[in-house]
Amino acid sequence: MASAKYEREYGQHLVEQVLKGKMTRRQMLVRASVFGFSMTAAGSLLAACGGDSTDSSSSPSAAGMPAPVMGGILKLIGPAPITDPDPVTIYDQGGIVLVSQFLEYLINLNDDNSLRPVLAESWTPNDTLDVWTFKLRTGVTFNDGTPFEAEDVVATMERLLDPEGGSGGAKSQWGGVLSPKGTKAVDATTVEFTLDKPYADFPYTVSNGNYNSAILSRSYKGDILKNAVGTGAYILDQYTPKQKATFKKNPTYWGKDDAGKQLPYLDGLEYIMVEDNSAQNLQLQSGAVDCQPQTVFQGAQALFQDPNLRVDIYPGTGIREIAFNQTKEPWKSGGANLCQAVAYCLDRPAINKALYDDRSNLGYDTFWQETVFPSSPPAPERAQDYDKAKQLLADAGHAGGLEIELTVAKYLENPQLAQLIQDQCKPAGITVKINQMSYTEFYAGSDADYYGTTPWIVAPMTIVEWGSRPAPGIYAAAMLLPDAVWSSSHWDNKDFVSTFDEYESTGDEAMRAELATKLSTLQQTDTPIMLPFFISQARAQKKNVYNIKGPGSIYCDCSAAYMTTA
Amino acid sequence: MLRLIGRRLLLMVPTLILASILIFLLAEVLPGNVGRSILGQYATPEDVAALNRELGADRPLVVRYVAWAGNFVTGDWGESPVQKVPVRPYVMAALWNSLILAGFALILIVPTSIVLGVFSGLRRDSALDRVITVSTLSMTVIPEFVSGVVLLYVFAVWLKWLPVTALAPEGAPFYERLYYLILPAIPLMFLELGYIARMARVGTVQVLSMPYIRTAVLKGVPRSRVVFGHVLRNAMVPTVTVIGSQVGWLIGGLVVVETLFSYPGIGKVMVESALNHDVPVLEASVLMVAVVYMFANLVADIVVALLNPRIRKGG
Amino acid sequence: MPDDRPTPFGPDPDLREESMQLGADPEMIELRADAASEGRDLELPGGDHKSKALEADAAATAEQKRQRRYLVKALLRSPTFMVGLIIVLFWVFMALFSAFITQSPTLTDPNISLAAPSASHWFGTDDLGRDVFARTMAGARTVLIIAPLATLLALLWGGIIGLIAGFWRGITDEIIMRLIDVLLALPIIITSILILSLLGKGTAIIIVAIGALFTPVVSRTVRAAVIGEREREYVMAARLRGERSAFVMVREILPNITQPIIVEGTIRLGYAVFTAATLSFLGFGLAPPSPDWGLTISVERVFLQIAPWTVLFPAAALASLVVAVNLITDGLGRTFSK
Repeated sequence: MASAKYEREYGQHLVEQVLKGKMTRRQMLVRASVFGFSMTAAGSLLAACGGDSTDSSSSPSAAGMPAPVMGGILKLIGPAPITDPDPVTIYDQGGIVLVSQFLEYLINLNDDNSLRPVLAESWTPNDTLDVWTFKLRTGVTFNDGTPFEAEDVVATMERLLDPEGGSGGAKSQWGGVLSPKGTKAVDATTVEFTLDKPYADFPYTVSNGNYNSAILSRSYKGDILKNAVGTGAYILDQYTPKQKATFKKNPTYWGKDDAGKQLPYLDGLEYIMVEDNSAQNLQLQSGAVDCQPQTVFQGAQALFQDPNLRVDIYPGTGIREIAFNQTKEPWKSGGANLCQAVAYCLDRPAINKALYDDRSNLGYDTFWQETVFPSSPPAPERAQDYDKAKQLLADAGHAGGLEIELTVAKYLENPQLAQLIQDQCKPAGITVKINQMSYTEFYAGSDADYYGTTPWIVAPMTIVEWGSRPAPGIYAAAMLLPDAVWSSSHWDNKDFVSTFDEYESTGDEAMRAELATKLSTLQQTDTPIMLPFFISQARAQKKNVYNIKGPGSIYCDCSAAYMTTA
Repeated sequence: MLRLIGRRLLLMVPTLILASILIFLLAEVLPGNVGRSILGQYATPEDVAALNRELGADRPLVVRYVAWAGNFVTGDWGESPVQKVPVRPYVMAALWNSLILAGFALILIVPTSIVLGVFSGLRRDSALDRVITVSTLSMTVIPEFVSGVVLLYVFAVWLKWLPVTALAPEGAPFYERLYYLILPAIPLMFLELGYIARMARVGTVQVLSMPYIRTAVLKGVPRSRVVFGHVLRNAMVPTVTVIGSQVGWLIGGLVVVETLFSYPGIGKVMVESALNHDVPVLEASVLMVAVVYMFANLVADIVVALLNPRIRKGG
Repeated sequence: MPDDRPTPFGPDPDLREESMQLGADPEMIELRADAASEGRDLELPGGDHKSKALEADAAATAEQKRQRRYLVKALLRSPTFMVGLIIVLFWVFMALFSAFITQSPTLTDPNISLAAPSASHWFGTDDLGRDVFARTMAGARTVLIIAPLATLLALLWGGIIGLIAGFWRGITDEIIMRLIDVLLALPIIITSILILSLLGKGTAIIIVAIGALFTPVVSRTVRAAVIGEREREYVMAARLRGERSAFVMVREILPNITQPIIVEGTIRLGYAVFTAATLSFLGFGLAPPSPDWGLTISVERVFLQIAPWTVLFPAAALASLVVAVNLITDGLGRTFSK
């Protein structure tokens, strides 16, 4: 922490919240990490609450791990990146996994959505939460030998924010928060972010949760395959598009393990690119590869049963946003009643069982759910209730039944989800017509007016898949505010907007909790989108593979991974 | 003969030009554009438009076609805007992979189908004949994703006799590469079996009805000698003619098998580049397949000419 | 998808016409026709005796009727044909009436997802807990709508194009054949993506698309058959009578090439089943919750290891239909050739 006074005050505040019973210890640790508390500082907070100082960042595989073994090549299998893996523009799983092997972020997310410093050593906000100062790690060099300095961070941020080009993904997380020229190098190891408005969740947006924000050298020119300069534990060695990428270990990597041993343990990595999920599963089972960073639940039952494999489950925060477009009929005139009617038709536990092997968190159409984001209030549950659905339908003026169209891409389990919704809506008198299109078609639009033509934004009802986000506010900012470009629901609730602004500009946890409850109620009442579940993630690997870090399975931090001789 | 070959080669040119125009149109009618493919659905329209401008993808269709064709003819296949790699090695590597797989499948197909065809021809109209004919023809029309899935399950997962991937580890000797190709080659073999076996059967039946064969049999020449000496050789002629027309299809139709067995071949490259609007890669891969198809046909014609006894007699 | 291949009954029409097209080299024509065409005479000896019958005007009709009766009788006695017919009729029956016999093919029940075959679910259940038996039976519907209609469409278009090209020859023929060459040289998957993205989607579009895919091959076959007929006496006679070209094509030539067209049609039917399934498999065909076999196999494929019944029953159904169509083709071919 840069300011001892701040640390003392905010720390005291957190401890008070816990002692008053307004916060759990787990919630406190997450918040403390966002505000840049070090592990020791957080530990002393815990002690002040009278708790023990158990580690909160345990991953599912952390317990009972054998001692690290040096050497070996870890073979990963997953989909090929859709394009070349340029960190500025990647948006798919293959790209993210590749990039995170040779590049690093200022901060990394833990599985419980707390933060751990990587290239940043510490960070701290000012009192109004609109200036954040980051202290950078010293003694880090890029794999081309140049030292890592504040100028590289500034260059990375400006590159991402460039209005001519830049990164769609990064800009979406910084919309209205961070603008070009908002990042400044105070000295070689200090970076200052001056925000356009107070933002209590800002550190998340410069973590690997914002996967485009990987730190590149200031000399980067967009030619990642020829010039893969990063600070990561591995160096990109060979890249054959759509087939394979190989990495060798970075001998000058800054990272050391707790015992002071040089990381990484492994000699290198191979990433084998296979699109088809069942083909991936078969390769893993046959022993040809060691780890499938992201395992899809459908059809993965065989992996769970395989005695040679271990599947780690991460309670995830990914969602399938089922949006009711408020500018289109029947939702425009039907309003909240109609949206709720559909929401009460869903048998959420049944969907969870069919699509996610009963392993996801159930959702109740709001982002603020304690079961998903520990710093949120609990959300009232929504069980299947056809009587209520019919009543709501009648209230909305559709007593005689309703016909709606659901637009869905042939991608992941979305078609199956659409069919379950279709079938579960039937008894309430709601006929769902499924309009399935290809993935490209679903996300295609005219050049002149993309957001006025692309199906995922303009169709009356859609299913849109979202990867994980570390905090409810980040989801809401991206899709529930009227000026959010990715708003498939086009929801425009003034009360929600003003409450949300308040929520994101305060560091007072008691107030945040209160505002979160209000936001949650507003979202549930209007139900502009249905969130039947927050999807858990899985990573399947051979039993001798240890210590691949998340968060979740989208990211795949292999810097401290190792393989024992089985 | 040479004149004939020359004419056939000349005819390829307009065919290829027409094909390349069609492919450009294909990339045009598919939803989306190259900028959107590169930046993904979350990019703003402004960013996409800027990238398309940078890539020159916003120019009129005709201008883009002429620019591309001009470079292509001079041997400059360009760089893939999506994968950021030079097109020629990328496409040629995939084509080579596919040719190995297709070639291996053909090596399996030809003897199998000829043996089956000759057998069924020798026992014309018997139960065996019908079983062979119907079952091979049915294999031909059972989609390769059905046979492929079942084979994968039985031989790779359940019995563990064969590897689940089609691509051998790097640096593996050639025979090991073939070992990896057995499983994917079988669905391809099924697809061709019926047709080629049928040709061999027709050839056999035809030869058996020739007076000199009948005479030979009546004279007491051993049946095996009749079969190997005359029937087999003559049955080859119609068989070879059809193989030519199958090669292009084998390569082009590999998409499903390549997907199923995660094999980096030309079929996958074509479909992916079409969906991503990666026009330079799409053009190059489709045209290469077309060229292979047409050459295979030409070669088959020439081989038939050489095999045919009459032309040998004539000189 | 195997559409650029000529008929499994011999490369004859294809090669014969090609050799004629190569015209300049008479030796080549002869040897190619020789190499490849005789099979056809054994298998499908065109309408040689028929054309003689047609010369004698009065006897013609009677002879045709007699022949047709004979063919039908022969077919009914052919075991391959009958077995094929029975299987196809079974699927037609299921396509029409399975809704009254089985459970709902779209009713989901996630609580029993991926249940093994049992008394209540003969073929088990799929990932969404739907009855696989019901879905397998109902899956016949889309295939039996798409495949025959697409085949008919291909026969219609291919017939027209083939008749025109084969009858008029000359520059028309040359242009048509060049275009067909281009279409055949393009990989089939590219052609189908092209057609489907031009036309959109839906059952009707898939029918049109498959029809269009098969048109080049059918027109080649028809053209070859027409070329075989156009120099015969009865065509000459009709032309000398001053009949219009359209009349000669439709009334004189067409009846005499019905046999190759029927055989071509049954072969295409098998391929149409295949192609429809493959398009679904690649994601260009039908959309859920359709119980279509190809779609089901493509979606449920991931469960092959833990719940093979979800894939194997629709696969077997698809295979049985394909085999049945081939049995019919075989029966027809053998009967015609007698």
